[in-house]
Amino acid sequence: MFDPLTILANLSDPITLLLMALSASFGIIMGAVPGLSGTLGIALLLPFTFGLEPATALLMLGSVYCGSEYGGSIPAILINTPGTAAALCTTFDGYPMAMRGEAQKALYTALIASIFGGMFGVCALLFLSEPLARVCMKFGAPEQFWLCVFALTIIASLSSGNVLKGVIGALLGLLLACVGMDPVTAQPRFTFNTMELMAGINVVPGLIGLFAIPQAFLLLRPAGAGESPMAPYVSAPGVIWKTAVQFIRRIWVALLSGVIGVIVGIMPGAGGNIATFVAYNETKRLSKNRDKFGTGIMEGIMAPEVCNNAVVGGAQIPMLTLGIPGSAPAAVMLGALMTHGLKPGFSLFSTQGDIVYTYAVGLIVANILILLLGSVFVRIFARALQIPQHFLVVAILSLSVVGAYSINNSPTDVLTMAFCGLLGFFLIKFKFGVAPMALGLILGGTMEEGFKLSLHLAAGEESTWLFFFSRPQSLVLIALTVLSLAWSFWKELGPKKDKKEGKA
Amino acid sequence: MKKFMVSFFAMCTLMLCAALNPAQGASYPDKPITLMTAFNAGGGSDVSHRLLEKYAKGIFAQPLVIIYKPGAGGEIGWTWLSQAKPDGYTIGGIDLPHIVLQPMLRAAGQPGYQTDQLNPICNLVYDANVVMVPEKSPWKTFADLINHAKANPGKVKVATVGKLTGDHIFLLQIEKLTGAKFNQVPYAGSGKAIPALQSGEVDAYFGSGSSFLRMENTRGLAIGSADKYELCPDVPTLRELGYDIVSGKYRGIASPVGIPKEASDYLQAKFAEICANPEYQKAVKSSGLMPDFRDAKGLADIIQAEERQVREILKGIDLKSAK
Repeated sequence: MFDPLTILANLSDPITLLLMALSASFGIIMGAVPGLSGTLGIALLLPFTFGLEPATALLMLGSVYCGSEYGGSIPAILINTPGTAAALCTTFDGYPMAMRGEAQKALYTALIASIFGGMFGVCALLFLSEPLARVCMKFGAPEQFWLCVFALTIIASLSSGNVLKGVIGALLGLLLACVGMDPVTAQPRFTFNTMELMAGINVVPGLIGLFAIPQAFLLLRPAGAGESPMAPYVSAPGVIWKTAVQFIRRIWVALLSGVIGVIVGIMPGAGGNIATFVAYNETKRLSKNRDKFGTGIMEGIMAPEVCNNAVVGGAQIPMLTLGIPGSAPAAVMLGALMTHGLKPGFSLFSTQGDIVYTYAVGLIVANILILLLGSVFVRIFARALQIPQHFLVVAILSLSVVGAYSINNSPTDVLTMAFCGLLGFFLIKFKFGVAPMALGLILGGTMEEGFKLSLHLAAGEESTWLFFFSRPQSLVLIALTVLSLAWSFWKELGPKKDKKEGKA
Repeated sequence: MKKFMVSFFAMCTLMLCAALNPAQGASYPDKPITLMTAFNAGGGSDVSHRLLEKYAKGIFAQPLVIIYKPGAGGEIGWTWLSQAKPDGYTIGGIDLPHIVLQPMLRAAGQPGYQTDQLNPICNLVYDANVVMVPEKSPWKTFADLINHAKANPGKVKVATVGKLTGDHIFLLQIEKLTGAKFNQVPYAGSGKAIPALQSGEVDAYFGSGSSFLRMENTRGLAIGSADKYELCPDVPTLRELGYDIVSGKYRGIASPVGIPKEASDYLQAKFAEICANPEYQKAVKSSGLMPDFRDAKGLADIIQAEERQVREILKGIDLKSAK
């Protein structure tokens, strides 16, 4: 049961705190290096926790998880390359803000947002586990499909002014996501009879290619030829306090994104990647400054960063209560839980209450540790902008190769990365942008799986159409999709009219 | 507290020594042994391998290092394993009947490993297949389910993990012997099938006993073990119910073909030692699996028997329509 004294005793141990701080730093670095991820970090650290008490072991692994979700924002802001797939949306406003010379402000915003999101998610885990786990049960295969469709509507607002190019980019991403084994029937597609393509186009090397490689190419342009793609370094003392004040003024963004993160996080198969798209899009729609999104405003960093850290708590709710992980790192956490002899289930909170509550409360402590560590890290990372460009190009390219290879020790992933890099370069050159394609690549597998499973499920029903369009949960998502599209069309047509009137 | 700090640093030192001093000692093993997992971190295979890694300390002269080669339902990993250097330092987990089914049913022209390219070392655990329904389901017995399915052919939604997999074969066996017809819904993994059953998205789940034991609020109607299953003795076996079906999954260890005899003997002996550890057995059971050690010969026999059984079941089934 919930026993504050035991929890306090467990958490006040200095060695536990030290191990957590080390794990969190490790997590931040794993998140910050594109290709390395929290999932890999947890898997790497797991064997070293075998000798520890389960609570301490879980806290170390949990700290890596929290740290990595924050770490992903750092390269997104500094070099326009998301460190993790969930930090993709952070590039939209983080990088432009850094380009204006406000790299520190962007980094501190991401840090504060991450901590806020992390704590928000953990509070949901602590107090609302049971009702939220029941909500999770209401979402099935058709909802998985409709949620992806809903997330795809972000294309309209991403590629404002040229929706057609955005749609083409997203379709390209969806097409690439079809390569490999069919998620339901296991039939090979577009594999050209090779073993290498059987596993499909891996999302993470794809993202590294799409973002990091074009960025490195742009850095190669000789000085003076157009605008430098490298953000300037401007020293900014005391910016953390100003950022914190501005953060509190925009607290509604944080609360909204937190709720989206927790809810999408608990849905098995969705996870942080989809949640951040939804959070970014909804915040933009509801914001008064919606036209300034994408130019480097705080809301645009807060939304994805609060959201992807709130997912940490959300994704662990079904993991602890039902044994179903809500995200990839949560899946590894589940493995860790079972290796340490804990059996997930609603009863876990009563039978192993000490461990579970120590873990949940400990995650709040981990977030505080990340805040302290992060404020030191920000100063160091911001200095990366002072590195001469020719060194940075080499560093980005070599880290991209190492990152892509290290995911599954697979040379195929390096080739995928190189291919997507080339593709990304041309997409940027011809003003398609890489974000829609990345979106398609990320959502493709999940969306297809939801669609095909729904078809199978509908085979026993009266009508396939009715199955897709009659479930109340699905109808909510469909309504949101229609609203989102209608709103985009209205916005798209609205300003043009104004412009014409202005000219006339 | 001190104890785990010591073990933590001991582990680090061990890894460091292993990395710095590979040539020390001529006999096998003189460097860490790579254990390949053909599925994602966190899955059932991963938990099994992590338990091996945990209990190998003190038994193996060198640490086991786990690497992941996930993708395509295990095909990527097992193809990689079949092509690895046969020096005894690369081994991998294999699952049955997967390694029998995949080469047999592979699409024409698609490359990949053959079952005989994986050299069996030993079997570790057994996982019996179970017919499961949610607790609130109206079907109290296996006969209830079958009668309903017979009256409403193709209406009962049954989750399996994948198409043409062990679960699917289990479903085909049941259909063949009972004459019932189900609507199969193939999920990508047990992590997807479990919530589908619990939320009532499907009416039943024909799959691994380890999934059954992980779930709350579920009823087992029948089990595919040959005898009473120790982990859930209340569930009647299919044989007791009058259907001659024995169905389950095996998880073992294999290497590329042609590893030195010294290495295969060592591995077999050491894994036997781990499997005899009561603490390891307890941990395996609590993860929902039955410890079932068999030596290389024993595992080879299982592979042969599975191959025979699968051929028998698939005979007379139109694979095109099954796909």
